[in-house]
Amino acid sequence: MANFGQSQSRARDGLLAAAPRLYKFALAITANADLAQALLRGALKSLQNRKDWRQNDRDHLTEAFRRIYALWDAKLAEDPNLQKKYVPDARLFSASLLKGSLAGNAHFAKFISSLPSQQRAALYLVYGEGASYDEAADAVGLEMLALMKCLARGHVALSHWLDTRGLSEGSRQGGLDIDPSIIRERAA
Amino acid sequence: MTHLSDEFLLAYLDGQLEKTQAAEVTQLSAVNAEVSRRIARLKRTQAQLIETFGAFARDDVTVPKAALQMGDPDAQARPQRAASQAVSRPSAEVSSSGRSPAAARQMLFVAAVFLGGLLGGYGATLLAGDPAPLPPKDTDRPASAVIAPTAWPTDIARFHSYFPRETLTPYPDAIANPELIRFQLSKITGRALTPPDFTRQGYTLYRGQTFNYRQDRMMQLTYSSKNEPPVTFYALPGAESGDSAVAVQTIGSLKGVNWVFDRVRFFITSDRSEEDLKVLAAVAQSQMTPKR
Repeated sequence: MANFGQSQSRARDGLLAAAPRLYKFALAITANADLAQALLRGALKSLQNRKDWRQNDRDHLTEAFRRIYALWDAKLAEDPNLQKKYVPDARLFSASLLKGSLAGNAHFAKFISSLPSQQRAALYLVYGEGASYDEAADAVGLEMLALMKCLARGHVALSHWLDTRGLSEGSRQGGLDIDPSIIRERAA
Repeated sequence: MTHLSDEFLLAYLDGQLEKTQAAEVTQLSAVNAEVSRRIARLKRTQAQLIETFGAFARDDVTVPKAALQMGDPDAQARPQRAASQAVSRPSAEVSSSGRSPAAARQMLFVAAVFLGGLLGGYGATLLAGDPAPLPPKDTDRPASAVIAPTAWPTDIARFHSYFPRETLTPYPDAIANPELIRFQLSKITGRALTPPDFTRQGYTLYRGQTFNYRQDRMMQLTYSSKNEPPVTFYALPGAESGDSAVAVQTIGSLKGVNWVFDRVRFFITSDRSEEDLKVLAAVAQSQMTPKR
């Protein structure tokens, strides 16, 4: 019983330590702090009895992401107008964007917050968390090929956004080209 | 391999392709200006997304304490839910102090039925003694017990019988990009495999789908023909017992051929003769030389 208690406590500590990452994923999905909090609460509750949960285990982390996304799906099923009720909060993204090459571009933050929630979640997992396609597809409940289409659509939308503002060339000159190996290293 | 989709090129840039596939794209981009230009364009958006979401992921964030309450996470959501229910069903709103006698009687009746059911059901279990232990779940069993080499073709044939003929005919939204299908096939089998090309037999690959098969993933490829019945091809990893030659399988009205090569299981089925299926298997075998 003591061992069970210890491992449960370790799992709980692990969950709390991973909470910021999970919260950011919830923010990436919803673009709304209130909704993100609700998703995180639900996911933590559903995982609190998993005494073997470890924050450094990628499978466990993917499972937590999956639960958060499943809760979001359930909320949307319960209330299809949910997304219309909550205006995406672009400010959530502008804080981090201010450090990037599009510093101060509020329109870019707005563009990110206007992406479909599933697409934003997938992009966040692959490019923010360095998740593999397998992990991202698992987390957002998509088939691998559907995930690839979802990511590609995100790229097309961004490319169009950059083109219409004459920013494509500037971004390239700004030295934004990143070697694909970086992604692999991040995923590892 | 010149008609590469954006999805496939993106998988290349994101480091998701098998080594051999990635090397092919690298070689192609060196000699094909169009592919090179598309890769450069995707690279720019990839860099922007990494910068944006990478910064977002690295940023320090304070999780509100309310979100960390594991005890009763729905507690805060309840008043809202209750409020929305009250708006949608105003007639159902009843204060706790002013319940009508009819409602009280209704509650008593429900409670009595529930209690009766509980006592009856539990009483029956007491009289019956200890129930027999449940068999272990599929996922709890050792892999060798779950993937019985002799059973898998039968399993897949049964699985296939759930697909009516009309679902095996082309439709506009089918994922037919051979490169994407190849990517998926390689992911599932862990081998750099190319989908078989049955063009000479009059068949066109028009759809690739993945399914769960016990603890594994399984790829289903469907080929259509103008004059012949569709052909369905399955590939899945596993098989502890080594390679096996092509064997014919007949389950009910369904005929199929199966074989195992390099720890990948293959199954082809179609409403065609046994000989035709063997020919298709031979074609597939000759084309699908798995490379590690």
